[in-house]
Amino acid sequence: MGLLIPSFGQDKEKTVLKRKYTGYLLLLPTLALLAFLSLVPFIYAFNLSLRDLNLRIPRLAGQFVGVDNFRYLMREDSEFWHSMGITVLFLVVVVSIEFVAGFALALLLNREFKGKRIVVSLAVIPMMIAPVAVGLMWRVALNYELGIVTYLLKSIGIPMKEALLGTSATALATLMVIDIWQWTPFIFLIILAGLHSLPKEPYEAAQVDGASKWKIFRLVTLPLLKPLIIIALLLRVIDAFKTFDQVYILTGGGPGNATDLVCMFAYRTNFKIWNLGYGAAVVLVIFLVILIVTAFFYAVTQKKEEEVV
Amino acid sequence: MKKSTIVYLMVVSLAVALAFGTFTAHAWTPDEQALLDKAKEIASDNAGVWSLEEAAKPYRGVTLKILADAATEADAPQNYDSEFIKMTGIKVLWEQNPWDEHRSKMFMDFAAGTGIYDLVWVPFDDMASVTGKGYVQPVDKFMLNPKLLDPNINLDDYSEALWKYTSWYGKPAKPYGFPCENPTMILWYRKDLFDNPTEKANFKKTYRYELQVPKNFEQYNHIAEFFTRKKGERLAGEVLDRDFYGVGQSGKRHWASVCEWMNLASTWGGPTWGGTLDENDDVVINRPENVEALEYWISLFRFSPPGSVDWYWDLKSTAFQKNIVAMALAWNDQSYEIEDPEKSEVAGKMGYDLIPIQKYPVSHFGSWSWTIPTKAKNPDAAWLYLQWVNSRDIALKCALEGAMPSRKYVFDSPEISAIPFMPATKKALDHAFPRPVHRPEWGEMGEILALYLTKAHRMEMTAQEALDKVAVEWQRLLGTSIVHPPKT
Repeated sequence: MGLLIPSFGQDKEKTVLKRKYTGYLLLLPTLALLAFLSLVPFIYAFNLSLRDLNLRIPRLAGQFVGVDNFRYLMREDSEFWHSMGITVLFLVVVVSIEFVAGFALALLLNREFKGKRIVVSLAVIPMMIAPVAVGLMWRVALNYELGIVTYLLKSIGIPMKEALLGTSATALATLMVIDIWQWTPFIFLIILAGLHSLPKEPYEAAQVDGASKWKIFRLVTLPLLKPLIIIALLLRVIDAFKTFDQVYILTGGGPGNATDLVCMFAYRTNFKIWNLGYGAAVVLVIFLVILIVTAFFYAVTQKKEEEVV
Repeated sequence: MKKSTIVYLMVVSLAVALAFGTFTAHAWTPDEQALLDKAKEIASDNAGVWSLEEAAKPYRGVTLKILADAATEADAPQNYDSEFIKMTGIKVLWEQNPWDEHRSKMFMDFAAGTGIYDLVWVPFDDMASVTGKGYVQPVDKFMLNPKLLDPNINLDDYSEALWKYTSWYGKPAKPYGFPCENPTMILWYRKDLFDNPTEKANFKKTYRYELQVPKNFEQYNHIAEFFTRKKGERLAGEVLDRDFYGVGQSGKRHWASVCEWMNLASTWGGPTWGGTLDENDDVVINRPENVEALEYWISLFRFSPPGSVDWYWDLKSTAFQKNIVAMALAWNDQSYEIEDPEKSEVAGKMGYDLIPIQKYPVSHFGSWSWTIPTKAKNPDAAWLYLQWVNSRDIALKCALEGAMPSRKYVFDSPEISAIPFMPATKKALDHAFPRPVHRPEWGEMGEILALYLTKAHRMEMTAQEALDKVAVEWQRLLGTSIVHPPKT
């Protein structure tokens, strides 16, 4: 028996170790796959960004140029900074409006009424359409001579001297309207789901204390929804930053460079001009910006959790 | 010889050279001519002894994969592929994509070196790149291989300039294939309106000369102004139920606007490389004539539908089909759509002619080349298909289905000559000029030009500022000089 005790202890130890490592072992294939899928392209892109490679120009065959591509991008490429500027403007406007409109719509529909399911289903249709299809649909609708939008605007007395996609000011605004039309339902759906899942007790307590509806909304609903709001905003900010399909189909970045959002700029650099070295630098800077935004939202979420603890 | 006779001969020579534009400027070099002569000699030796069936025997059972543009020129041969398959036992698979997607796929495939495709259509804008990078192989080795050369290849049939600009690249230049899609720009106009007696009389009263096909851009401007009418006004005796416009222009930030404007730049200041670079590749895009041509082009948007600031070439033909435009500079290959009564309200009402002349006769042409990728798995079989699909017989059949001819034989056939826009096309080719496709940087140069053309017509900058900006950016790309120092 005396011999068995240590042996039992070793077995236990082995079992604990086995249990501990089995989890890691089971995770390993997935982790390896994820690392392969995300790290390898990243390393490849980083390597590319340090080279002068253009698939069209024979003399630019991938020579190492260090950080020249980043230097030119940061210091000299005014077109890139213009793209970055209008992308930030685009995302601030669309995400703000989508958030307010989606939230309002969710509050409005957060009650039982006949036909609620149908209304909710209809409201989320735009976000279920593929962005390319949205672009094509609006391209037809916005045609100055033959499109329904121009016809309707004219018929209600709005003077339409030029095509909506034909002037710098209206083209970007039109893209914003389309994005808001498509993605407000996303915010609406998340907030509505959040509202449905809120506990009843805090509301009952607030009502017992005689709190007004506004106070209940501000001091109960909003704090409880905060994690969901942050997630919804994070997803929309990242998505709005990456807007490409509608721009590609509707304006191609024009007129001039009025709607040349940063992903359109990256696409043109990589797949029209085929300047892959410089294009990789552009893509990495976009990635970095998205990473910073994500980190910011993550930090806000963490802060909130610490406050709760 | 008398001095006066010499001077006379020199003047005549100069006049002939000017009259024949770019076509006479690109004769075969001795090396190129020697290659062609050698191929012709082999073809002559092969007459009566060579057959496609025999030549294809080693490749029986092979499948050729073709990557092509989504164009009529690529649709048409597929109707006759069964003949080739029956004769050779070589199967043929086509993949077609729209212009942008096609180019993306093509470059990615070439760069990856997959060897998936045995034949690829390459726009001549990319030929300097794909040949310079070694993505495609010269076909001279096939042309000089007695086992593979069809005696009926008829190399003399190709218009020299068209074939050269499209498929001959490198130093010394070598052939990389044959033209497969070669549209050229002509004038579209509404013949029924131009012939209408009331319109003719009104025009004469206003402008004090006969309404006719515009011969210069002053007349073009007058006619554009004249036919621009509001809803409710009369046009050819009918009350208009929508606005009508004198001219249709492409204003989108797109190659459509680049190609359209290049006609004006070329007729204003000379057609070398579309008025962009000179013979030494120095930048002339901001020359005074081009600035004037750009100002003129911008001014014409007054008589073009407001939506045309967002048009590329397809929307221009749609506007004609919907009967809202009287004239345009347009691609000849789109004329089929205009003449299709099922799609077009103006079928049978159109006229076609040469682009008006400001100073030089011009027509901007685009072209695509058949090529065999360096990594192709079945290059010999691909060459056999290439020869067959470009043979006179198949080329004529395809042309009758809407493909633009490349061979003189096809152009001269009575069936093709009877197509309404073909006489204008044939005449236009006499003055055809390409864009600077000899420069691999042209892809980026074209994007820059498209950007600043739209900035100028959107009044974000003057014509001079826009072209100066283009000149500076091109100089950075090319490393050559700017002939006219920027003024802004």
